[in-house]
Amino acid sequence: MAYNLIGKDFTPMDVEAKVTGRAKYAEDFRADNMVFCKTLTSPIPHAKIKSIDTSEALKMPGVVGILTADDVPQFPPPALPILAKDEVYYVGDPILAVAADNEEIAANAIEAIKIEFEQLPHVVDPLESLFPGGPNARTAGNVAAGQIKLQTVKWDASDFASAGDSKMPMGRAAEEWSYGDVDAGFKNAKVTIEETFVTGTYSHNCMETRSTFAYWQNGKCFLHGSNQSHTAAIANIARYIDIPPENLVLIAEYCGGGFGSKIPGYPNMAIAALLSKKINRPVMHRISRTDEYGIGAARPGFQAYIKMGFRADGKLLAADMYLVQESGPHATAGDFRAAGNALTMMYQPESCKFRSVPVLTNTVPMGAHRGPGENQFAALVEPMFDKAAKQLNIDRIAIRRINAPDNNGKIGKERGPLTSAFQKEALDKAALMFKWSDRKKLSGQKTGNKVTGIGIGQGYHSAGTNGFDGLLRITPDGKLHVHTGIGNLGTYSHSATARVAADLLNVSWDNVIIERGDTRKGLPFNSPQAGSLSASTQSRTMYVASLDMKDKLTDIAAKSLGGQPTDYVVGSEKVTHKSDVSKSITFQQAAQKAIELGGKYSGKELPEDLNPITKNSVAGIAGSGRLPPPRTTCLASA
Amino acid sequence: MSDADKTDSSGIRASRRTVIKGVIASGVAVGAAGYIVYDRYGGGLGRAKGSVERLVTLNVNGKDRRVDVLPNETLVHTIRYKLGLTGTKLGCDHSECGACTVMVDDVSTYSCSTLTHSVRGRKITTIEGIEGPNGELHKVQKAMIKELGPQCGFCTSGQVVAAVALLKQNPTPTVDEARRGMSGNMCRCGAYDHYLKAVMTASREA
Repeated sequence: MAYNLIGKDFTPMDVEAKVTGRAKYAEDFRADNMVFCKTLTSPIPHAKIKSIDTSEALKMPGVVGILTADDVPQFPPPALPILAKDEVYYVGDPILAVAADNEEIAANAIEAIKIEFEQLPHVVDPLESLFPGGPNARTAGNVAAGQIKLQTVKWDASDFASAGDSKMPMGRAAEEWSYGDVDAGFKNAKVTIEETFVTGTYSHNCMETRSTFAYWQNGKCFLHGSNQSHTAAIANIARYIDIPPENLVLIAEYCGGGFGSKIPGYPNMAIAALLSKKINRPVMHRISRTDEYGIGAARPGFQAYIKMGFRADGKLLAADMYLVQESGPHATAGDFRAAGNALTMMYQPESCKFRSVPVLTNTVPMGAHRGPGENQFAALVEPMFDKAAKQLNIDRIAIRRINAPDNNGKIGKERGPLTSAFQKEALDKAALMFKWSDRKKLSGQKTGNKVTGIGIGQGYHSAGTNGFDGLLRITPDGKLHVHTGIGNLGTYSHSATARVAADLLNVSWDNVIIERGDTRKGLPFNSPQAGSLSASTQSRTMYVASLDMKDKLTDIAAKSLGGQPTDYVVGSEKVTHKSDVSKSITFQQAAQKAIELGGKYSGKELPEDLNPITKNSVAGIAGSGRLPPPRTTCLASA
Repeated sequence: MSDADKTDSSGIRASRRTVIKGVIASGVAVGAAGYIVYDRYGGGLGRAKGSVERLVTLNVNGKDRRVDVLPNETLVHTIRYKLGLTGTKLGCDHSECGACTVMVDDVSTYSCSTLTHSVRGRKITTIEGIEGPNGELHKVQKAMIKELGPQCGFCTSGQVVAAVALLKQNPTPTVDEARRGMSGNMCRCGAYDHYLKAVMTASREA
């Protein structure tokens, strides 16, 4: 099919607001009677909270209320809490929040709060925590991650002694697996490369700090937040506030950067919301850059050992990887596991052994950051392929090509299937475009004090998923409303994917209205804006929703003009009889007819398999008499 | 603004990092609008004795505005929280990121590190004052749309103002001069080349 819109440049609707400063981010909102809150954060990296005395602070004029861990929902440790209870785990760990008439009073009140801490040993280096007798980041243990319960892991002193100076010690792992005959693989290898690595931990440091503004009306919480995703985050944020998802109105039209740290919302969002509920006034929780370094997440660092054995032609026969991850104090980062998957996917080793310990540390909470795990991994492993190529005297692209997955590739310890993989083709294309065979000769050439380097690198991150709802609506003015619940990180996927619907329904771009950024607009449950998946996933959602809309439009045409729905075709913003073009209704007429028909044509009847968030959104816009054929389609059922 | 008129080797006047050290040291807070002026080092906040607000006149975007200002109040604070011009963003509050960039007498300036009292009688231009009198977009804004400068958009106001200031001083910069002129504005999304293209595109427009 020839596309009018897909694949062509366009100007996203929201870009003008950005270049004029009119785009409103969470902290740009104001309300009458609003108060300001600031958090008291831990000044020490690990301690028990013995007592908190807020009496002096509460007496101060202008102090309106205080929120402590006792006022907020609790989640089983080692989940990231909203406010620290009993124990603090890093410098900057939020303990309580003070609401006051202004930030100055709130800050002064924080100075007046007395907290008695019992300082505990802290640890920032995972290996130190694994050393016998080394400190634990939490009193309850030093190792935890998703699917790895909180536990204490200590290695033997001999594990450290036997490693020597420049090799990573390797004791008992918390997660390990292998496939194939690794020992035989190394035995048959012509060249074996073995390295120990350290990668740094660094902050996401989004330009927009995670300020939150919240107030309550009629039992609903109105929350202005900085979030990557929209409807995919609602249930989670509602859980932090302890309300049903339908009682959360999330306004997040713009997000000033997230990089993985603002995907499903974050506990800190609940502070303004819960404080506002407690004191019954709107609360602005402005996050300073200093605050942000504490709560704004960071990419976990690895200490790693990798050994790879190659056949003479470059084929990777065996790989052995051990990752020690600096996890921060909570089980928030799964980078180590993603790195293991990357090894099995990117290079298709014939045999593979993976070991890892995600170690808790008294550093800031870690989280997904732009290709979590895979990017640290690529930086470690790709140079090893160059070394192997050199020793085997084969080309650096050739060694990657021979190991690249094709459509028969496998992933993970289970050796699951890949749906499609064109890595060899990508390498070939890149080599051609780059003129690799000519330009690689420049590598190592010296000009004055400069040396030319020519290199090749590969990266991988999984992307694309399904199971989301599409919501399209045509109004009697003929406009196509594309309701989208994906967020706005500035990748413009909200607009790019709306063009899929516009193209399939053959609607001019000028007649498309994108409804987004505010749950009151009726937003369906859609992909998180994360992992580079919103464009691919939402395109598929829009595709299926558009097909459903077409069916409804041809139904309506048949009901209005006679014949069967299959007699009609949708195009040029009308529905026309295939063999008698005089029989035609415009989108305006179809929308009006849909209102009259009601039922599934006006959104009053919905498919059963819709996500509750979508159902709630449709209920808000269906039957208002001005819209039709709202259509919701669950991609999973398609 | 002691180095406001300094000219560097690329011919660009720069006054971004005019930081008044006394302010940082005192770490004073303001009450009128509810926001703290500084929160750089965490604790020790409190209003310095005798720091009362004073009614001053500021020329912002061509209009005289009367506003109560503390002796140690920064310009970004006055702009955002007292004049309600939220287009100017507060990113780092440390003269590092450039999200708060405004023009003072047509020179790009970090408003987070400029005392409001120091710019009385000067011409202050924020992002809201970049458009023409009838709301038509400035050529820099048009170019930023054409080249899709903004990603998340949080640094964009600062980028636009910095680009406008650059082109006022050097209407036809080389790419290197433009890059240097924009070097005080961070973009965490990494859309630097888009912004740079936009500056060059704008420089070719009349």
